[in-house]
Amino acid sequence: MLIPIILGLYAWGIQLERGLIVTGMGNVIIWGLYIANFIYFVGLAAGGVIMIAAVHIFGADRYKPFARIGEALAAICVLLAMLFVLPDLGRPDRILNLLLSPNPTSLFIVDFLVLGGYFLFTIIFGWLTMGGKVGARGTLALSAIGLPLAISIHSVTAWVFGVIYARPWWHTALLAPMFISSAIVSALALLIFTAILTSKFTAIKVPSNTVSDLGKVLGAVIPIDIFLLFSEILTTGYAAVPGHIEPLTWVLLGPYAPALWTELILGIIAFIAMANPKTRASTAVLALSSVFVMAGIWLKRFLILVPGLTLSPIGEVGAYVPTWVEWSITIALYAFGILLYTLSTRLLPLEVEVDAS
Amino acid sequence: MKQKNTIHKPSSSSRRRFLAQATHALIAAETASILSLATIAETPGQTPRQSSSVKKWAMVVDLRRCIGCQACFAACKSENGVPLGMEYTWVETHEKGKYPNIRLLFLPRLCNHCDNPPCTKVCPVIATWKREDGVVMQDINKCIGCRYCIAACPYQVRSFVWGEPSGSWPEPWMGEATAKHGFVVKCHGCYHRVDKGLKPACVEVCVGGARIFGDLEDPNSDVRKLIDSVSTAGLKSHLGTKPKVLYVELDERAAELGQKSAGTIVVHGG
Repeated sequence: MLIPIILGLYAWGIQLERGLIVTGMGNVIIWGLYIANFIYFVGLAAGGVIMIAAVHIFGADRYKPFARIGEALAAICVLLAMLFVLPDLGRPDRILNLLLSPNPTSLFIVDFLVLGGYFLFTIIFGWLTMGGKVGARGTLALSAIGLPLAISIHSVTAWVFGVIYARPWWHTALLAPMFISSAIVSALALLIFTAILTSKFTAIKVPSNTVSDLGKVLGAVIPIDIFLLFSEILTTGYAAVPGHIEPLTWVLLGPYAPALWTELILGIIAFIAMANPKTRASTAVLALSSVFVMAGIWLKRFLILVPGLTLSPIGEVGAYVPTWVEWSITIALYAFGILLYTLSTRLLPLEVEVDAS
Repeated sequence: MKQKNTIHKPSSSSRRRFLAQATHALIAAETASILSLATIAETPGQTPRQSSSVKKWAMVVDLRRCIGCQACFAACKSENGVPLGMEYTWVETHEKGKYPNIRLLFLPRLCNHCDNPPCTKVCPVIATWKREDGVVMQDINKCIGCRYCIAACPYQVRSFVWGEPSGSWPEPWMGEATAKHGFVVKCHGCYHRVDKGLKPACVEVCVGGARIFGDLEDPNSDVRKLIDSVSTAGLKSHLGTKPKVLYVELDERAAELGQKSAGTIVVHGG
């Protein structure tokens, strides 16, 4: 894990020295891999806690073995989300301006505040619950704070884009609900995948029948996410409004179509596998389906971001191919996340005792 | 060139009065946005206009007078040290029609110094803001380079410094640049000239006198008189940005088919 991290730091060094010119971004497509991953990780961080908090609040005790793994993943993912913004900034050395001269009307600032607050919350939540400092009632109270907070981080992240009326592709009130549904889908997949790997390679065990049950929940939320996407495509495509129809055509039939159809096929395969109790019982199928879902939602994040920027507001058409620098930094941050989780399994009491009764 | 496009000559006062009367009726029927632009200066408590000490700068680009010479583009580059590959202002050449009936249209673009600027709203660190006189400013030494303002601007007039530019460099009107790259630059309305009573460089050099600059609050200013007498339109005014760069004889299709460069010819096709 250290080799990709060192390579990523080297790539970031080059980017700091020579500027963002070493990336594939340009005057038309001004954001790329970093911001797509930022959205993705905010989703993973939010979705996990939305599920875990719901488990505590509604007393779905059989999902409790996932609770602490979910808490660890949420803290790591929100940290990674914030770290993904850093290499996207032209002048990360001026980041303190966010504190020194914040603009309250900027949703960037609001997002910065809720993400920072959420990160602190996940740390405190983990410290209190894993340290045994609070009982069942305390956990319930904390969950009641965590649930709206988790929804807020991803909603605000959606509104960062949704309020921009210069970009019709983003300017839809459906963006925040769509972000939340994608968040839950991808975070469930991450939780299933992590639980399977953790049970296999560490002393922490999650009962395989509860993993299978969580797969059923995943199967139930995938159609919601696809429904929202369909609703958005139908509403905007029917009118064929200039500025909106171009990105839609590129996504459905043009250069971005392979990504869209891959996303949908992966999602539908995972849905079928999770809907069928027989396939759902297989750990291998569960693991593979969750990988499909994570990849599919990653593509969805990319397809929300980049096609929205491909047509400039005055009508220019851009192209974007990420460079090795962007890939190196991205892979390094993924490696850092995996490293943090591996350390968590060693250092934190992630296993939850379940009453046999 | 078509007859219709002959350069508008300075008219006699009687003709101007006639035009004013005729166009007032037209303007009344025009879109609400144009009306609201005309009433920017007519906020209650500010009449008579000349008593107000605060100026409201605006520009009218009379497209009947633009010959596409790019003098404004060049003057802006040299006045402000605009780096290569970046433009604060540029003139697009649009080719309309089908051979042999082809006509060239010219469309100068620049920051619209909106009265309701989307860019200043989204900037997380207030590195861009609107002055009282309406100039939308950019502090290149405060900007963190997140490019949110570029995403929010409906006019594509902001530029990000992707790498260290070769050749010229932003002139230090607001202090020396403290970094080589990684921040956003834009047209600042030549505020360093305007504050001294001069016109912006692009207006100063305009060969055909197509760029008219002045104070909307002053009833005797050329912009005020022109806006009150002819039909003008801002770019994408339906977005509610209230642009303060207004065009005479704006071509709707040219407005939608832009190209941020001074040399390219945009072909409109059929």
